[in-house]
Amino acid sequence: MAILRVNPTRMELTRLKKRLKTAVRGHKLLKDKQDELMKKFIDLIKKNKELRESVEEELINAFKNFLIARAVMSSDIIEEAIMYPTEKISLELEKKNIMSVISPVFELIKNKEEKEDAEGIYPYGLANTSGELDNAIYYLQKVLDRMIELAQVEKTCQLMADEIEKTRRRVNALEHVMIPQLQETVKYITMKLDENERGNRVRLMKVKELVQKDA
Amino acid sequence: MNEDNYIYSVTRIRALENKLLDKSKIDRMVEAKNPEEVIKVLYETSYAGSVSEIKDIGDYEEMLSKEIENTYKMVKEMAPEPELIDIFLLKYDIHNLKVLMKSSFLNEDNDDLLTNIGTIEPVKLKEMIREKNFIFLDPEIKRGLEEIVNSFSINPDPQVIDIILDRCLYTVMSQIAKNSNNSFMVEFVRLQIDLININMFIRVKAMGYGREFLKKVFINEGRLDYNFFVDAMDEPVDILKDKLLISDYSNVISEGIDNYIKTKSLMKFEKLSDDFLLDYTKKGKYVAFGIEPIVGYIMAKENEAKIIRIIMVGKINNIDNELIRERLRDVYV
Repeated sequence: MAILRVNPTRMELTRLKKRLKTAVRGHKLLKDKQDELMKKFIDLIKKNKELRESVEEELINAFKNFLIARAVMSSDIIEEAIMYPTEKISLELEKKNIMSVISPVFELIKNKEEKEDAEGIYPYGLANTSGELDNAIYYLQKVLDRMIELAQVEKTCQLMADEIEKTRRRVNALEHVMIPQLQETVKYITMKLDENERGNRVRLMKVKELVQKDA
Repeated sequence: MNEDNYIYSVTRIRALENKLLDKSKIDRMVEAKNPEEVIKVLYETSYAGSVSEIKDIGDYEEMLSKEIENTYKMVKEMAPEPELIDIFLLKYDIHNLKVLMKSSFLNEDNDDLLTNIGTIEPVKLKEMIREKNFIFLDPEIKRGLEEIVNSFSINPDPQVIDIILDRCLYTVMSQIAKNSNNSFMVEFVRLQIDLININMFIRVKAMGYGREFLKKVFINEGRLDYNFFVDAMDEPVDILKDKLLISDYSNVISEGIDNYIKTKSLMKFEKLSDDFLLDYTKKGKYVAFGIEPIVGYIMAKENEAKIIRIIMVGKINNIDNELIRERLRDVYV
């Protein structure tokens, strides 16, 4: 293991020891964070999978109906039927902090136009439209809330995956590079200093011997 | 109307009838591997001229409406009583009016949805809507439009536009038919209205709306009146089967409703309704001279458009041949 290129001095040693301590502490914290993130991530992924499957199933249903409606009505008529929606929808965005991952929170706001005798979600007359269109609109209406939820969960998953990746790299860097390097260096400096000490002592002893012989 | 006047037009229709798509052509279209092959089959038919203008597969819709437009233009020219043809054309006017009304409330421009097929040019209609001057329209439609404007100022609901205009459409259609004293046409309109009312009744029930809503959408000129449906409102849909057992609709109803209960889809019923109306106009084949063959031809032509559309949509979306066949309407020939 490579050691850092530092002067083997006592001051450097204290500095490195301090850094090592911080690194170990940081490693522990990051490791905890990673574990927690993983736990949350797995929960979220499970939820995501369920949600996606159910949304897809409903969408398939809706599109199947829409396709039939599309086949039996001409495109002009179908477009006319749905050109004026009964609902206006806006999306509100908030941020949520999960383990320092800034994830989005969507909130769907439906401002149904104020009506006394609201007839719901179908914006067209019944005489010249196909019953399949009703079904398509019904399924799409039903699936919208969940689609938004899915978008939120999926985005959070992505962001979390990124964060996990980053954290893992940091943990690995600390664990396999920084900490061993620091430890090696500390060892190297300690040994070097000890060696110096021993050299000094031998030299002293030698000098003493010479002095005594002369006397 | 003297039947002699029909000699020319009926003869011509007879000649044109031979050019309608027959079962074997349609079968070949259904069996086609891709939309391009469907187009190829069309090249061998009377559609050859309009098909050659298709550059992109998605253009088939325009081709069909062009074809319909030409059919009406031709029929109207040769029919001795062109006002009877208006019964068919009105729905296109009403479609344009719906588009224009909705566009004007939305402050949008949706001219690409307008069709040229109707009795009044879309440009003129647009002018009228812009100036809110409905004086040149049929009094019934004028009343309807005014009603929409009033109701929208209180409470904007796009559905109201469609509902009121649909009602106007069928009221005017049945008026024209009655004025002509042509029992074939009167009956034809009434059958349509009945089938639509039954369809709406089932859908209103499925949507979970009550009598009030049915009353709003109900079209009055049919053979079955509002009370007939109101009585059935709280019963399961099956009841229609018993109630209409001895009517002309018994086949449409029993098969259509059985399928509806099984699949929650009105597809079968809608197909059977179309077939039923087509069947009614098939009488035209056995009438020597009169409006019947002309009506038969128009229906056949519109039906062809529906068939081609279903096949094209099916082919473009890779739908199983069997499923396409199931949805196809009968043919006139």
